[in-house]
Amino acid sequence: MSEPNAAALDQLGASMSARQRFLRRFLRQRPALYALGFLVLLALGAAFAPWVAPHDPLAQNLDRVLEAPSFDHFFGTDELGRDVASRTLFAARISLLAAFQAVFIALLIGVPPGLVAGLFGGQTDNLIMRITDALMSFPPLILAVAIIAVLGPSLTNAMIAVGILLSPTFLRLMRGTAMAVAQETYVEAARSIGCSQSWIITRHILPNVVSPLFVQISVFAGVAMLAEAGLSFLGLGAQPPDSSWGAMVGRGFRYISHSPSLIVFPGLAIAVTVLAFYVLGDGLRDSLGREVRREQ
Amino acid sequence: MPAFILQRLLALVPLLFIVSLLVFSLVLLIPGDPAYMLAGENATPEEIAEIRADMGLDDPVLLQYARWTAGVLRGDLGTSLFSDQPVLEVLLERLPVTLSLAFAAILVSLLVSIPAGVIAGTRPGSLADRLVTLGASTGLAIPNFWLGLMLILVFAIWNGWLPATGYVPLTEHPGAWLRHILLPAITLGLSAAAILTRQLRGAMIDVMNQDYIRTARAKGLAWRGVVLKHGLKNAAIPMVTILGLQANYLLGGTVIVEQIFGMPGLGQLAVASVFTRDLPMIQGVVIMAVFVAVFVNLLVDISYGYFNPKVRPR
Repeated sequence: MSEPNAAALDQLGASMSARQRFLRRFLRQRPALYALGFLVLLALGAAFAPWVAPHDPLAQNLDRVLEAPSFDHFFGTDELGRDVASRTLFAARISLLAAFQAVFIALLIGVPPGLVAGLFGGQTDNLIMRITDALMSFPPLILAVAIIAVLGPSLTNAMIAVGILLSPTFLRLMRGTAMAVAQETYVEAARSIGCSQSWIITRHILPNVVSPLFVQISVFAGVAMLAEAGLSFLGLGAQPPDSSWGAMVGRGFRYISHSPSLIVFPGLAIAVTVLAFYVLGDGLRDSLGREVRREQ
Repeated sequence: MPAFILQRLLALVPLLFIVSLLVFSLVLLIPGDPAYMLAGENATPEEIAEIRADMGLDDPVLLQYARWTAGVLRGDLGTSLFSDQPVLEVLLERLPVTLSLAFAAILVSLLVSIPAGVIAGTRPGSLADRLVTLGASTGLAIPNFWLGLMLILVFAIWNGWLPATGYVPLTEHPGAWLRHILLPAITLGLSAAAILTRQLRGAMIDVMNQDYIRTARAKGLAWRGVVLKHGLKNAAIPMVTILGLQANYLLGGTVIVEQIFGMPGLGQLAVASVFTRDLPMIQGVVIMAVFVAVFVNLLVDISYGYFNPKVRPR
């Protein structure tokens, strides 16, 4: 390895201070901080659900079915007498994990071809972008349903479908950044002193795309959570005995006239969590440097 | 203008080619033997063999693709594995339901977003602006199936003002059509309204800071006229593009909304076909949906060229 260490150190120093500037701006974004706090609390609550939940989420009590919210059962009970509050907390595990699973798959599918398209250009770029355009011309949920039809209804398959749907945006983001950065003088300089392609990607292109990528990840975690909820509501996502918030609303649909609380609380949980992801994404975007924001 | 339209049409050819490849390859994605999966768990070997023969699954993939594409181009989307009806026939029966839902939803989204966007965009930072912005963010975060259930709860179950489920064709009874489509259209339209409102608000703020707005004000034109004629008209141009993008999402959203409100449209068909493993039907729904989406976007492109001569090719 004969990588130029001085240049690397310079680059590291520059990106550190940019990161500090970013952090300083982010800490001034009050709504985004609240959103982040809420999401951290939710994640902790979900992780420690067995200790935090007031009841066993699976414990049935057929003497107390479809009860309205009470002091004993904050969100009421479901058709099997199970505690809805505890079930909502446990379902957070599945909803959160599923959202990040979908975003991870989208990153996996979207980032490498985006990088390739942006760096190589020409026919490769043309072909990749044509496929991307075609993928984006599908009405999203209908494509997801079709993919699930083929793979079979399960949460993982649903999240693969959602990941495929979200990947074009990551691809475009990567491509745009890679193209812009590849034009920069310092990349030309790096190339002319013999830096390898992988060095240029890891040292120059990836650091530039990390911040906008985080904005997109935050927003897409919300989008993926909505998509998961919708698919699970339709019975195409989380399958019993697993339950996500969307699946809870789907089951509660049958008892809507008798026990509205069965759908009100899991639905609110989805709305508040998705809102938190969006607000966090907005805050991250507003904390980016002006030069990056313009490209968003 | 005809050259512009022709150019847009030609650009669709490679797009539709890739779309057809993707839709066709759904069969290839099936884990294991497609005939076995499509026949269901309790199928006899004869039934499996029949499906294999029907779909030509033993032929080379390229031949399968050529045959399938030729069929699609002739309007033959295959036969439903579930009901043995021609797929296209079923799709055309259901298309009007989905289209009228999507159209009504677009109407709802415009009726909400134009006033909200104008009010917020002409007074940035005001209480009204903050309320609109908060409402738009909330509208984006609320799952539309949940909103639909809440509307059913309030307007159908508690008050009984509107029917909770069902659909009546517009041609049969316009009044009943409106009563049945109102809640689904609001459910589907509000998330689009949230996006359009944010877009219009931003565009209005930009436009209202332009010199020609100050000039119009300075020569004594009434505020209302300046906002509507000079402001909104210019701010509306990017809105057309967003509306085109929204058409895709609205079509996708019909999957959920039709399910909740028991509307016999394409979305409901898609979900039902997953459970009956009716792959030809699902491929048909996807093709039909893409076709509608591409057509709408073509109209948007053309109208954009009409509204904004700058983008027209010379």
